[in-house]
Amino acid sequence: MIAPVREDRPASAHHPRGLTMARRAVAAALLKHSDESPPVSEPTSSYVAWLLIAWVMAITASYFAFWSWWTIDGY
Amino acid sequence: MPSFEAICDVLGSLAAAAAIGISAFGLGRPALRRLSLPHDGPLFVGVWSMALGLVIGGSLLLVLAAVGCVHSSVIVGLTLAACFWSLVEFTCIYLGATVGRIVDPLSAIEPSRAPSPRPRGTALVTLLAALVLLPSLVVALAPTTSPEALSASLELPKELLLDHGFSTSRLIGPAPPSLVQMWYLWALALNGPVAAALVHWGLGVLLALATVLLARDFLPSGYAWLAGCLVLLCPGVQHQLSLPLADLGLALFCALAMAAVGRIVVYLEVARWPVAAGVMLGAAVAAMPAGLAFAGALGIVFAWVAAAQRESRRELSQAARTLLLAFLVTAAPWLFFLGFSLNQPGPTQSVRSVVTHLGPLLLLALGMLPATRRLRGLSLLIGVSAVFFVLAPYSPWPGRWWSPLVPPAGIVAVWVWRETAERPRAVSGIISMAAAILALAVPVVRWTTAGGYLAVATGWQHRDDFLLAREPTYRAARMLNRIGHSSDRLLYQDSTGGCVASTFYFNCPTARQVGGGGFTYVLVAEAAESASGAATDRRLSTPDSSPPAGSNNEVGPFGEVIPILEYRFADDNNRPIRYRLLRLAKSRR
Repeated sequence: MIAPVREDRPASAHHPRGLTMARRAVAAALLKHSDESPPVSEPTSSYVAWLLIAWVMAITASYFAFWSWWTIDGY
Repeated sequence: MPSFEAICDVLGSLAAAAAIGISAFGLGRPALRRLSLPHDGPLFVGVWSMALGLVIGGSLLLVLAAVGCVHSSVIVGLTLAACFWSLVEFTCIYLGATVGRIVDPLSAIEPSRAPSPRPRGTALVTLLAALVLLPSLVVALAPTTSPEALSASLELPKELLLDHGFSTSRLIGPAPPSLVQMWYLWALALNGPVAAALVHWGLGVLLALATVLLARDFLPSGYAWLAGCLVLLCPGVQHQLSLPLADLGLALFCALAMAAVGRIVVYLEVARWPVAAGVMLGAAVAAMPAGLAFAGALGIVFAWVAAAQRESRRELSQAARTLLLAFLVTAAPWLFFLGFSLNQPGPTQSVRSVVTHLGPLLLLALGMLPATRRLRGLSLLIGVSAVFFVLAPYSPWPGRWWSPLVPPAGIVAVWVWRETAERPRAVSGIISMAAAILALAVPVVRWTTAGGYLAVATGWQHRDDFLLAREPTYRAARMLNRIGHSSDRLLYQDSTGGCVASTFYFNCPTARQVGGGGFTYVLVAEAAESASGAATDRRLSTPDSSPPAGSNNEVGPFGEVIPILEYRFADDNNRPIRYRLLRLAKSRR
């Protein structure tokens, strides 16, 4: 799979030339991604940040508040 | 002071598990060479060789069981041969590495490439993963008393050893045999149940390394190692690391199958990877029937990719045929056994239990995923996991199906972590603090549990004493193993209405139903009267001073019986249970 954050992996150079276009098409059509910089200063990012913090706090609190719920007892 | 005998027991179990690991490498390395998958360093060779070797070893043991040749001596001989071949392979690797260190003068003076920066929190997560592995190893070094592990995982291997192969009744047994049980048969033949637990602990480590391999296709190396460590922090993995169950084997094969299929659909490496993917998918089905649902999920995503790609449709359909053939060859014997169990209701896992096994850390990351950028290829992992999540409960005999979700969830969690680290310091600080607290909580729980096992794991307590205190039927088993003969058969009758105890530690064949006959002993478990003593301690049992045989004969539902041993043991609800070992008078020798 093609990683945007990985720099040391060369694109596979051992495939038949005809497959190169197909590989690019797979990456373009199915494995879309965006390369824009992470949102740090847009106004919406603060709402997202608050949502993230709320989610994290909810899970953390529920873990400690409902300890027995998280106990593994076989099934 | 630790006794010499107890220390020898511990070392013997460690040596047996190590021998199985080394043998697996020796069996798998030639197969990996034959597959000629592109090399990607020692981690790749190690993980794929061990995984292939475990499949080959388990299949060989199944063949031995089918032809009735399951003898400890045969298995020990095969293990020694495989270990010897491993030594040859290790020597070749060492010599190859020595040659590889010779560099030409020009490349020697070139500046070396700077290593990629380590992600934040790597040291903490690595330390936590080590802190998780250690208590799990301590618990694994104690003889298991888990009813599920003893009854579901180890009972069949024990019967195969006693019967030297499959008996006719076993073909239509309550649950289909699995590849993982063949590894436990291997461990029982070499050592005992502790070696089996250590094999599963090793599978957990192998699963973490396989996750690193899978993650390296998406993320830089440092983040891939972080994903491997996160897998070990998952509560379900921690729970399973110390018990001889089957879930981690399923997760291992699913992770490797996903990595191989990813190579096919994205890199279009259709010449080499389909066989590897098919073998791993077949092994996943062999490990647990829930692997069928995973194969279905992977097949659906594969078909979707092939349908969307007209240019490469021919190559992908050819790869699909090869994959299917390899899958069927690997899974066929196990599907045969599964066919006998289809008419019986199998256990399944609730969604709540799946969430509990994945743990809060991975749940946290899944919830935060929509707020991150899209990473190339991650949609493939998420797609397969989502389809598997829908299909798994409807798979035949699904059992616990949470484990294949762990490696993709770990990779998603690392991606979310990377994105979170780039947010403003206050936001990432709060989220990181909460994640660190959750990550710390689980190892703390494991360490508190492991405290009770430290003595037996280090040889300060003998395994006999440990089992007498914790395993309800062990006192009767020890007595019968002393006085019994090889032709004895035990009937276990439980009328307590609670959790049925295991009869694994009896050295003779056991049954829970009267059908078949030929029983020489009966073990009866019944709730003791409350008036006869409140249960405040698990060790309620009377001493081994059994009444002399024949002195107190009674006539019960089994005809005339001779009491051999009677004792009490408190169950998990602190309720006293009376256990009576009786000899059937008809079979008196």
